[in-house]
Amino acid sequence: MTDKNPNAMDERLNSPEQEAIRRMVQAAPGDMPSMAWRAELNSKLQRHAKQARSRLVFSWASAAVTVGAGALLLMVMFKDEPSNLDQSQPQTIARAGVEELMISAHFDAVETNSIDPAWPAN
Amino acid sequence: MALRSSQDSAQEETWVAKSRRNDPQAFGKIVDAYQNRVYGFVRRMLGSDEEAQDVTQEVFIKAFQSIGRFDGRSSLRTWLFRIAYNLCIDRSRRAARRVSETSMEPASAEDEPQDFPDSRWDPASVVINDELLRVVEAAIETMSDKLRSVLLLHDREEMDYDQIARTIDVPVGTVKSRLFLARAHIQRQVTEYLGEGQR
Repeated sequence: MTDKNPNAMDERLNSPEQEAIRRMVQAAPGDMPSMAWRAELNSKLQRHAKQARSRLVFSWASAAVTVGAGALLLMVMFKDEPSNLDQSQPQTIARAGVEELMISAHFDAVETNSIDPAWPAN
Repeated sequence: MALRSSQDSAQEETWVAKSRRNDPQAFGKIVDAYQNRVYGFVRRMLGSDEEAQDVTQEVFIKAFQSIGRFDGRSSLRTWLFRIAYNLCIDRSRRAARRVSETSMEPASAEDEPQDFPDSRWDPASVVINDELLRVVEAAIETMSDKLRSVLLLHDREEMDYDQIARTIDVPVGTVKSRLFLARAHIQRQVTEYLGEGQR
């Protein structure tokens, strides 16, 4: 009946008997919680609000620390790159120094060979 | 008293917005507006003042904690009563509290409800007095949670069928069927009481 003929159910719900019961239920006295109950609820709400604020502050602080740590890491990474470049220069200088040493060794050897063997005697 | 006018509704939106920003004072205004109704509903659902006080506090604390998720699709009242209904059902299940339930509820909510014609009472002539109201309260107490919730939301909170269906998550047809059965249950108790008076 309920699904096949919804109007029939509406009619039943609007019958004088059902309406009389509705009035009786409505006429039942209302309820009111005590002032002590309300005071307790207020303090619980305050506590929850404070906890929520603390959680918010903590999450902001965590986010700030994370961002700071990330920024520091990036700084360290970018600081490393120029020093790598610098390392290549001493190697170049070192290579140049070896070449010079080899050339000067060669000239020394040539000069040594070109010295008169009789020189000490002269 | 729950809010009704559009001005009050705008005021309510302001309280909700402030409550979302974690303002307990603004949420206190919402509590002021609804505490009596929510408490009355919970007390009748659970049948105990002490439990009702605990659960009603739980309703408002839960509402305060989750008001950020209140999307405004339903009214604030419907949302609060949904929380209250769910907490009452949870509490009932946990405590396995079953009052001596008169088996008025059909096996399936869509079963055929029966009429209860009784010549012993004429609805128009029934005088509502304190004693009769006590009978009505006792009858409300002895019906199932399913029937009681629909009866209270419709006849005391004046919610329409759609609002009730959304609040307790059942089809509108089931709401109507349960309302009819709940009233029929009370009618039977009242008829018995009136019959005793005539003897």
